[in-house]
Amino acid sequence: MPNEITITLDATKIPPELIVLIDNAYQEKPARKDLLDLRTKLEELPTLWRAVFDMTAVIKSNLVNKTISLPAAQMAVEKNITVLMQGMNYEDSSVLEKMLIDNVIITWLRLQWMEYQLLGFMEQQEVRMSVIEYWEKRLSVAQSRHLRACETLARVRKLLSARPALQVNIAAEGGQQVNVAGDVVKNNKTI
Amino acid sequence: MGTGEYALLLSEIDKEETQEREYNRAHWKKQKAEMEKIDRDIDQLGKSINACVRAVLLTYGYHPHKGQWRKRRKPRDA
Repeated sequence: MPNEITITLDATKIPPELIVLIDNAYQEKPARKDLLDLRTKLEELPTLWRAVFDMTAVIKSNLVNKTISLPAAQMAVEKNITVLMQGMNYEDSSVLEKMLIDNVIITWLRLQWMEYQLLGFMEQQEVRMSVIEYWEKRLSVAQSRHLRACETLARVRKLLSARPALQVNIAAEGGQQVNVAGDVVKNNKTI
Repeated sequence: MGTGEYALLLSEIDKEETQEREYNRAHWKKQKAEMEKIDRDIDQLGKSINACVRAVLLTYGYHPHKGQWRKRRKPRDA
């Protein structure tokens, strides 16, 4: 099991001034000026999305090519990734959703690799308990990370699907309120 | 403890075991450092993506409300 993975990301981080603007606007009642400043800054940074996509591409490629030595296994994983991406409707998704799908794939790859590593250690005759515990802890972190990535994608898709939920109220006395969520097909693909 | 060739053999075995332990320790340390570096990078990516999500949702008229995102109501016409 090769473990030599090098990922260099230092050059592609979100600019600190953008983080400040996001923090300023992230309020229950954000000031109009803060929102305008944030919008202006986003327009000034057309390469921001590209930087994040570059980051995801590097990590994804490293996780596939440097952690899996057998070309056949690499191909199988690549195929799996394609199927997963199709399942999440990658091609027809907005830019933001694509970013989130990439994150789901990366966290999934990491999780798979952790499970594989832990299984490998558990099959060995002489392994210290502390080593197993270490891997179990990292596996647990990988599971939480993957779950969070899936939740974020689902939440963003729900929020950005333009259709409001259809709500049917049965208002008669003793009646019950029935809430029916509207179709979650999204229309906006420009974000 | 023995003497002569037997002692020499025991000493060699002992030396090899020590070397193996040292190698394993160094290998494990290196592996752990690599592991943590990758996890840090993935977490950094997650943070960057979350920042993008926040930025987009804020500019699309959403605001946080008790840990959830709510759509801002448009002001009514006077």
